[in-house]
Amino acid sequence: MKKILLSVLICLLFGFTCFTTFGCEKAATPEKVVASYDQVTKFYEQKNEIFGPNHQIYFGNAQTLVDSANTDYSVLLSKYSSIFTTSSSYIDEYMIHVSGLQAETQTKNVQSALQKLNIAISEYLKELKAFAIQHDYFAQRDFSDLENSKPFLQSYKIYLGKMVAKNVEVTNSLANVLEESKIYEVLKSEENAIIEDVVVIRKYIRAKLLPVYARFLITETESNVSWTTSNKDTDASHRIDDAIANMQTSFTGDYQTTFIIGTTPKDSSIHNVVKLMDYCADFMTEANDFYKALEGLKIPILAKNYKNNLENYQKKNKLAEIYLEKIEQFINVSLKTFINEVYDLLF
Amino acid sequence: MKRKWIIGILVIVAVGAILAVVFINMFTNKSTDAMAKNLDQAVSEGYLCETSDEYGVLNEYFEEVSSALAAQSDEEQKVTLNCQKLYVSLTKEAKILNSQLAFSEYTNVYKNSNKKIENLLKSAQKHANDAKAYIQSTKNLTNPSQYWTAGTWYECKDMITKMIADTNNALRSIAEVYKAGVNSKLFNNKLSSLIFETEQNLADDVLKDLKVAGAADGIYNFTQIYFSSTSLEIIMSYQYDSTVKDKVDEILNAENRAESPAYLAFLEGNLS
Repeated sequence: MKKILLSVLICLLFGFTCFTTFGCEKAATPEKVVASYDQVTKFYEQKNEIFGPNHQIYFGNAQTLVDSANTDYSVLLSKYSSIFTTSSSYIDEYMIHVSGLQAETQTKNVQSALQKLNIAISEYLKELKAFAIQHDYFAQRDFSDLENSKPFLQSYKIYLGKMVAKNVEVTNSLANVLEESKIYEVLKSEENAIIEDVVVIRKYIRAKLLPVYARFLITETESNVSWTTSNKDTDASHRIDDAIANMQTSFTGDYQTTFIIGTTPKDSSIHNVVKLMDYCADFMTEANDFYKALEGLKIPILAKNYKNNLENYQKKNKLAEIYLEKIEQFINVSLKTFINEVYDLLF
Repeated sequence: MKRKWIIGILVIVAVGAILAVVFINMFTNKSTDAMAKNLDQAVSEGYLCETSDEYGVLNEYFEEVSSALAAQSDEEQKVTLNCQKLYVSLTKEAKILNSQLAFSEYTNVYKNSNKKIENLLKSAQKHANDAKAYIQSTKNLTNPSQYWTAGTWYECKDMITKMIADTNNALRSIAEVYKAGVNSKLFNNKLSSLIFETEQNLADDVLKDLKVAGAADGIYNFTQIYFSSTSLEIIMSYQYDSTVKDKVDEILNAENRAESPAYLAFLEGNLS
């Protein structure tokens, strides 16, 4: 009997040791995260022919080509560029505060958020390098003829999209880390916040909103499928084109006005951070439904396999129409209302 | 020695049983897609779809038969008018529930009512199909005789009232699933719960006695206000509007809700 129990105990101990040794990565510390991001900064410096000051991307040959040919790609490059600049400037401003999160005050939530941030940074660096290789390849060859260059431009666009999407993930993970910090805990309960506090919250919401834009404008559609150039013109494609256009308008309009342009919200005495954070939390729950709708609809499959024919696609994906309606309603109503309400509270 | 082996085997069996339970639990489908698909089937192409054959045939029939019954039976004419308004109202409510159900979480409420709702929707669809088939088969025989058209109602009535009752029961249970499982506070809040609860009460009142003149007018008007294509915006505005929140609280806290001025204003669509 003793032998059996001993054998079971040894097996359990062996399993536990294996799990803790190989199954879990070591926890990320603030120092480790900052050091990881330093590698990114160094890479920017090494590749200064691609990454300029204030997070400008020099597209080089690709830009010259799309400008001369006056194609949709030009719009795409500027679209990615503006998301990249917005996202990177947040990282620049707030990464430094990660080092201020002392190890002794860390909670499990902070540790988990730091771990996710560290993973996001390493994945971003990987995509950054992949994009740089693609860029160099473009720079070294002659792609002056647009028709011959289209496959390369398409590939370039995908690498760029992945890189920008990963950059946005870093921003989102960084915002999540800071949200877990003690200072945010205090800040979140302010019903009469001072302007400096409101500025921090404004930037926090700005960071939390970025993935919503990036997910639709980059990850789900344009990085996966050459949406505007190669697909059949249908009612569904028009609806998705409209949704993309509305999302883009929201990003360049409402989002910029509320979260980027200007620095000082008016009269500090009316700023209710509790309300702002409540609005934000509710909106993020709504955003999860939007992500679910994007995952459920699977736009690339609708475009490639079903040539944008929603009726045929519904035979396979019964809830496709529901998902598409949710995407439209989220962009046209939820997002718009949320930003307008935040604007009214801030200004 | 033999005893030790038996104990060893028992330990292994016990561990195996625990692991089996854990794995079965892990891999059990915990999505609400099944219900969402069932409701969507009815709403997007079945009897609850405003562009479906069933909906078109039944509504046309309601118009014809109520006119034909005017000379035959005042009471039965009222039943047809009430049934039509109730059917139109429930169709609109189903559309709103359908738009969010695909985004709901798996809950115990879902688990306990999924099968029941599936059966109710199937049953209601069957009654709708039967009614449609009967109406179409008798159309050429009775037309243009008002007398014989009126006569078809006595055959159809049972199918149609059962279809409505099943639909009403299904939607009540779906509204409970919605309340328990939709995470979005923009779509699932005190106001949305009040709206679904009021719809239920209004529907139940009509079903108690279909012969009362204008019994379905209340639910029909209420549905036009809160379940029209723009009604989601009314529900969504709740989260951002303190005046609406106060009104809803006033209604919920009223001692006699039916006579509360806030509730009466709410029925008329006035929340601000």
